[in-house]
Amino acid sequence: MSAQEIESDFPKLVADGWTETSKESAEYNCFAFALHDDSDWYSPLPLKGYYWPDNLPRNTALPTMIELYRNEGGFSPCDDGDFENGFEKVAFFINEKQNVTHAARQKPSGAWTSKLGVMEDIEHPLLTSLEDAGIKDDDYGKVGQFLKRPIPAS
Amino acid sequence: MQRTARIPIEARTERAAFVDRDAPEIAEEQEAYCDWGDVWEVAKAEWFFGVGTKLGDLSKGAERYYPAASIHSNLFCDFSPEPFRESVYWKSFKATLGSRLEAHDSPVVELVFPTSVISFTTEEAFKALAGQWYRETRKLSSADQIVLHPAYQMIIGMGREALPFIFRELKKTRGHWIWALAMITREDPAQAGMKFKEAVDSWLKWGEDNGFI
Repeated sequence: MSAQEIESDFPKLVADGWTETSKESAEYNCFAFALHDDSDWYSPLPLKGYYWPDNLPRNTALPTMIELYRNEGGFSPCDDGDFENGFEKVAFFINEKQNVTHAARQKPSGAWTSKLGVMEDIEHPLLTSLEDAGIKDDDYGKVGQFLKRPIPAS
Repeated sequence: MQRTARIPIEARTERAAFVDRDAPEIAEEQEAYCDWGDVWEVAKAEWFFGVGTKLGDLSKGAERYYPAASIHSNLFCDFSPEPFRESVYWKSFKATLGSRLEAHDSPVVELVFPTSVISFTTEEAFKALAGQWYRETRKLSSADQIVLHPAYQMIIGMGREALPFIFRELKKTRGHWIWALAMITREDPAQAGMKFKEAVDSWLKWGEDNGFI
């Protein structure tokens, strides 16, 4: 995947800046990556090879996704994406159908990191770089929910 | 030479009118759709289905499609509206148009079939559809959205003829082809709990064992 293709899909990255941090891969998606998992594709699609907890509804509505992150990563909803020492935050993007389309994870530097579909992982200073109208089938929409969890003492 | 079939979505008649655009005087059948009113007249949108080029405003409720290279040619050899409506192609068209059509009392779709479509091979059609699918889904994380893309659904609609090309693509890209394979073959060689990478490996082995690779 070329940088041109990423910037074509997310034009605001051109001005806002971004850095590629992995090779492209179809083996994991943003929902796994935000939970530090780079070996699963989280999806309610009922087919072997896709990961979805048995106890959750098979959809990506916000309540389901909050529960997914609570169960899988110990995250809880919070008010904003401001950096807080001792906490790790995740931002959910939500489209006009009220489905969660993307998750970005905050790094200790305060910047955000995202796995872009089957493309690469990137680091991007701003969440708004990935936002759009949320109308088209491949739109991410806008950030509509933040989650956080305490970072375990190492 | 092109053949045009005009189909009302909420059918006031089941008859389709085939018109040779280059020689309208030899139309096989003419059907008057007087109920269409100005809906038909405002149809200006052109969409090269499968090739991925969309031109104009799709908000008028009447659309014009040029299936071009990506449509499985057999579909149109013996065209009639009723089986078309039951096909995955029709569902793809409807899914694509969505609420724009529902907003109109008598929406219509004009399908324009270049005669040359018939000569396209399954491989050429697969390549065009697979390319469109990848371009338009590569940024998505929802596997549901990825496999519901109209181009992907049309590849599934090709049936077993598409399997050698799907396996070739799976081997090359290790992308999200396992849903299409499961839908076409009605098999699932992956095991419960497998990760995506392992499921792909299982499918590639199945493809080898069954002579598709």
